[in-house]
Amino acid sequence: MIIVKNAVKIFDNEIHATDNVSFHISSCEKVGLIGVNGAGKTTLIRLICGLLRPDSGYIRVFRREPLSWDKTIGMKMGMVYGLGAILAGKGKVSFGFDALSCFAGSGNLDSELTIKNNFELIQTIYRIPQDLFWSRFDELDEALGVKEYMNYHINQLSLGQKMRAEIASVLIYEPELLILDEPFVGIDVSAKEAIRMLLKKLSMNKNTTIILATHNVEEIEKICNRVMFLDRGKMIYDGSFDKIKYLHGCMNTISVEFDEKIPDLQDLPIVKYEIENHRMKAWYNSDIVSAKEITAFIVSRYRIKDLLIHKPTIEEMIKSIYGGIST
Amino acid sequence: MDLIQLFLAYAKTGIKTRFQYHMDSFLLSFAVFFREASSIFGVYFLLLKFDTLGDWNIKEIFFMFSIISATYSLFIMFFMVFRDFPDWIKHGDFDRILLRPRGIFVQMLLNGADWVAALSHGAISVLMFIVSANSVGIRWNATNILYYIVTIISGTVIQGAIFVFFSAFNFYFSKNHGIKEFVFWKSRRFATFPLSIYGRVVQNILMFVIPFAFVNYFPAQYLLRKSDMAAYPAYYMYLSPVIAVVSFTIAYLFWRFSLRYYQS
Repeated sequence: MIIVKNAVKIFDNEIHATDNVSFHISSCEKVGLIGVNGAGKTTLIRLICGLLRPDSGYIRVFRREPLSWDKTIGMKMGMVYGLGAILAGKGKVSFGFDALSCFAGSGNLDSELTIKNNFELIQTIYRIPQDLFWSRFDELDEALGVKEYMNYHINQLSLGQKMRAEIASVLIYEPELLILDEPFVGIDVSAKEAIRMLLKKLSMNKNTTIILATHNVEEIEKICNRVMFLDRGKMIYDGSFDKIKYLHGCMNTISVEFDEKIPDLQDLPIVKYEIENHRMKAWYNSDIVSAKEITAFIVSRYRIKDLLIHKPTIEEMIKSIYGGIST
Repeated sequence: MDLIQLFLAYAKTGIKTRFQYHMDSFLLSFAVFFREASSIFGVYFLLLKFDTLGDWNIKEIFFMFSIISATYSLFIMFFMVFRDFPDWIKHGDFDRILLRPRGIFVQMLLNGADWVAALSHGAISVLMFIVSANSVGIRWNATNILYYIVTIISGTVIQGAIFVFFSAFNFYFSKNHGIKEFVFWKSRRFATFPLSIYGRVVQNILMFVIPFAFVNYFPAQYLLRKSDMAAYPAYYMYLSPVIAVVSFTIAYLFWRFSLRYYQS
């Protein structure tokens, strides 16, 4: 569905926003795009939807060169920009004018129109029959709750309300490829959950391909089965979450509080340890030694007060991918 | 059929939005109306002093003015986006248009039409037409009515072409607000008066560069047959539709070509 080969995009200030990136996304995949601000997520997305053209390299979407005015791609593709994407990407990199003023107008919805008028336009533009369109709208309304603001102007809505309307405005024409750029910024927990369910349902029932860019790893873990890490325009990881866990999830820690003097643990194959008063924290590789062996060793020899085993969260694993020490 | 549906959808939402704050749109339309009316009074007082301008009397100049207003009124219905194009790019509205699966140009026409201002300019043009049309010696037979309609359409398209052409520069430079407005409004002011009163340079500009002379002067000549027409080839009176098609084609192609250089 999407093929990117050696794509390079350099901005005027000689920042390599996309640096020799290659990947292939097939239909029905749910891909998470992770990177800190300025890692090149938004640029990559804009290359995929044709709003930017690569300086070199090869990009195909639906077996076509993505040109933003291509009607065939436009019909099958949906874009949701969140506040994060607009603040980070559009404001700084491409123009340099006030990012907030630009937020006022951008997105899929015309900020001068009401939600109702916006949706009426979408219905005409995407040529969806009236009754089908509004029945879909009712379905989306259950999850997103946009109906009660029907007659509000977009710029009268709060950020969360606006985001929900934006998402509804894209999902309503059921795109085959759905790209979400920081959609969860400014959305409350219940709405996040609702959107997550909606996305899962969509990918199950309609085989929608989803690309989700965010710096919030938790969201990606809940939705996506594949993840890509970008760092300063380079792709530094591309694979499943299981593979990350396998590669970077083996460094566990065990914290023990002793009732007596700190014992000597030299017999155990641990990586390193720290001692503070009666508390000891030890790092060990779970491939070499199991938690069971360590606890058995300690419990059988010493009197302990408390024991805590910590497995790294995905977030910590990612830190280790980005070059930090796994702790 | 499909296109008409899309245009109707834009028109419907546009009108609803523009007129929902009744007081606001009411005052705005009055403001626009009086701004236009004041320039008409300017012409009126000028002609009180001189009686005629290059053989044109006040009613005839009003008739020319009514053509300008009518075409401008239609122009801001269809080409508003091109007038405010830098803002559309800046606010990301243009990206939205780009990503939607309809012709970009088609989406831009009618989108964001300023219906309030269109109404005021329309009112001015109707008023000027009523004041002048029956007292300048035009016989309103079928041919002349048809000619008048073609004139209005051509005039709208010519002004549209000017804006489409200049808005294409926004793909290369993000700011060129000034040039477009300057060129357009200066030409439009010149076009208030008969072409023949200007010097050679201005005349050539208004005929061949920014073809405002074909919006109102030459069409008015066809209907009024003033003596100063002798200075120009007679076929100029029939050239407006041709100029409209040619200038719009050039502008459209240049715009389409420039779109390739657009980076959001």
